[in-house]
Amino acid sequence: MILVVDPHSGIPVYRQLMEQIRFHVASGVLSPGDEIPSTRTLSAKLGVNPMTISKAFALLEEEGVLERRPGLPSVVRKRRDDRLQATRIKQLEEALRPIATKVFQLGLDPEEAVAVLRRLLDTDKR
Amino acid sequence: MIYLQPFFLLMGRAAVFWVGAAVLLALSFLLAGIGQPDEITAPYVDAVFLAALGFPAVAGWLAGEIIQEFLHCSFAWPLPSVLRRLASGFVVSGLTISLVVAALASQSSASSHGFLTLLALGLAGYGLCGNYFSSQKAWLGWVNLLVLILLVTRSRYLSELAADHRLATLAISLGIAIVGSLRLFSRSDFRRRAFRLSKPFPGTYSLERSVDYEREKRVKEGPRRTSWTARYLGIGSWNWIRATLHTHGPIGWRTVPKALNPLWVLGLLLATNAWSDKGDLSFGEALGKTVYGALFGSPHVPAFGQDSDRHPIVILVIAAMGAVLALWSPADLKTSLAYPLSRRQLATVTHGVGLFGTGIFFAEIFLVLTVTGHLAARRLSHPYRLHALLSRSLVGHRHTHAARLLGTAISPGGHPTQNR
Amino acid sequence: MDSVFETHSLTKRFDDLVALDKIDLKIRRQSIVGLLGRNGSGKTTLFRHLMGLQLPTEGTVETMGTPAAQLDHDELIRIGFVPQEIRLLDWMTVQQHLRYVSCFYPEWDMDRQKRLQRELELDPTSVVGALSTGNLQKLAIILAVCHHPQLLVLDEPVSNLDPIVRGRLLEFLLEVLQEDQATILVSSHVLRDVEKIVDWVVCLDRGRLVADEGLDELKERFAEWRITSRNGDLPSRFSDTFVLEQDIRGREARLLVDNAQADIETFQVTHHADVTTRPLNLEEMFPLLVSAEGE
Repeated sequence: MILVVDPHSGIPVYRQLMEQIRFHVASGVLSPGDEIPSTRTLSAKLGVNPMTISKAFALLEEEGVLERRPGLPSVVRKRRDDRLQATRIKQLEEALRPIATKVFQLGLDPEEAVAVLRRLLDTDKR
Repeated sequence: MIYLQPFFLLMGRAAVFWVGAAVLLALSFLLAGIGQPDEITAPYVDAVFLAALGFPAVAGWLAGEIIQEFLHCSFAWPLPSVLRRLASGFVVSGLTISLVVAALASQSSASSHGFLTLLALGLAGYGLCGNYFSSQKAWLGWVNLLVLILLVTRSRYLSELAADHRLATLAISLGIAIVGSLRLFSRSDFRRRAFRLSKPFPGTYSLERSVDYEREKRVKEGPRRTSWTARYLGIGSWNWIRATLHTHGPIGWRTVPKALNPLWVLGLLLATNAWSDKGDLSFGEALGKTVYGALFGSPHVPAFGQDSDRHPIVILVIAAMGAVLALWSPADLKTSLAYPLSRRQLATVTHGVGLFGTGIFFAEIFLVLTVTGHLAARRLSHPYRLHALLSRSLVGHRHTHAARLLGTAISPGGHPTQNR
Repeated sequence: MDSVFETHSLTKRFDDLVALDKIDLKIRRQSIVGLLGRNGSGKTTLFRHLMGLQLPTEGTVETMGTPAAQLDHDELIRIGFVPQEIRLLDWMTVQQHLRYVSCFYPEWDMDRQKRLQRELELDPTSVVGALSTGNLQKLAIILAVCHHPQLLVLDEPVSNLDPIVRGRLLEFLLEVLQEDQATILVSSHVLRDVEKIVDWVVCLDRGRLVADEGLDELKERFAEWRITSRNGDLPSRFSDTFVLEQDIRGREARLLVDNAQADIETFQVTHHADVTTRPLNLEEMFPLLVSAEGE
């Protein structure tokens, strides 16, 4: 699993971490039961404050994505399939939001935009 | 032992040995020279007394210099128990040195003091000199200097005084030792010092540190008056000199006490001379005689039945000190105003200011001497001999022809008195 | 003692210059705090008060639970300080200097010292007086950390270090945080470095406190809005109070806004425009911080 954070992007680092971990879980890179590297390891590797990493883990635990275990690294929680699907949809929506604004800015018809999307997805399938 | 390490490690540098050895040798020679009794110096000098004071004093001075240089380092402040550790080392070395010196000195047949007195004196010298250059208050430094000079030039008198009042001597000496040491290690002094630059230790020459120190000193002093704007600057050296004098130069009533500093020393010397040898004259009379003898040195009015040839030397030395001070004190124009000057022009201006300052200094000294001379002459109902004053202070001979003519011309009531 | 550094109404006046103006701060344990501010904003003065080097005109300062003016042995063995103007004993070699300072502390970690000497590339045999400013900084840092302080205060520690060494130092600071459970107080102009490792930001402007919050919260305080009008030109100027800076070109505009007061929905409706937001990083938001309160 590769995690990349940009401390200078303006987006708080903990949120970047959370998004990436959520994405990895949703896309299957992280399966239920997989261990996440410890705060210490991640802090050294990414060069960010360990409290930021703790914060991300704590919030992910609240969301139900991770499970923290005292003295041991955190693990990915098993989630019900429908919950997983809902998460995936939510992530896609977040990713597409700026695209939607762009469609408006370019002055394109929503239908034309959907057609473009369809075309792209067809290309990928092949 | 590790508690004492900070002090002793600090002393373990080459410069301490070089400077220490040099100063010790110089002191030894001086004492050896003084210790030869002759009619002139014998009444004034007590070599054993001086040795008991002097060697620990030198050690104290060295230690004090090193410590104060250290306390000016920015890493010193956060060190735990730094003052306590240094103080312990300081005290231990002071005790050791004073003990050794006192033991040796008390063996000398010329000594009239017991071991304890010499020990106490040694400690006093150590504590006093440790504090000497490190004082933050300028006037305290001058007090220290005055005390030192007194001790050196009136050692016989003080030695006898000490022998007569042993208990008081012990108490005062120990008092001086303690107070001197405490001042060196006061926390509030440390706080004021900790982030200020200091001169580098005399045995080393650190170019960067000296330059930084001089610059910061001048920046801190700031211009003495409101700044001299470009509008007032004309062309020609004189205008520039005026500008520099206005900003930094030795003009103004504030500089008068500074110029007179060397004279205090002279005054104290003359006063103690008068006091210690007054015989059955009143103090005022004795002082008048001393001053008269020092300034005019007429053989018809012997100061105290001996040749007062030494006194013009004292005046000369004091005057020379002052001249050095005046010539060497940096005088700067604000950088923003000085930029159009070339380096040679700047040098000319600086020298010009120096000369001007020296001139003013001499004028002030001369004024004071003239006033004092008049007062002394009046007290003794003796003539005021201006040409003698001129020749002695400027030339050092008994008289020169030119000085005599000048003096006769200027002197009120023109008294072409015969000299020897 | 849950706070390592606490001030109440701290004020410092130099004649008529107010260097610090009623500062109320409470720095908690185990965090890395970045102290930001322009030159002359009072950062160094604040640090000096922390160490008891300067005494306040009004108010109180407590470091490690003790009034700063009375810091003594027990507190000083747990504090490490790297000042901005570094003056060391010029005549010693690096090795001698390290040994000298180690005498003062009951515990001195030789392994850490050797490791840092290697990582920061400091030659132990060079004479301190001959060191460049960068190397002086390295030595000053090593002197301050080998006794495992619980409070480490660094005033502009990286200004003279090259990027590689800087990076290693910042990594090391993170390690100190975790290994020693230390609190680290760093002031630096290099905001990019500060941003990487701090979790709390304190910002001073002309002696006053303009920010005292977590870095993440601070990042959420401001935002950049890119605006595209849906019908015709945008007004020449937006008068909404939350708009801190604006740059309007015809149908498009770029605004810097105060997020707390901003209402994006109302704005979009009122001005018939679409807004894309982007958070600001520390470097971008710094000018807003120091001018927002000052004007």
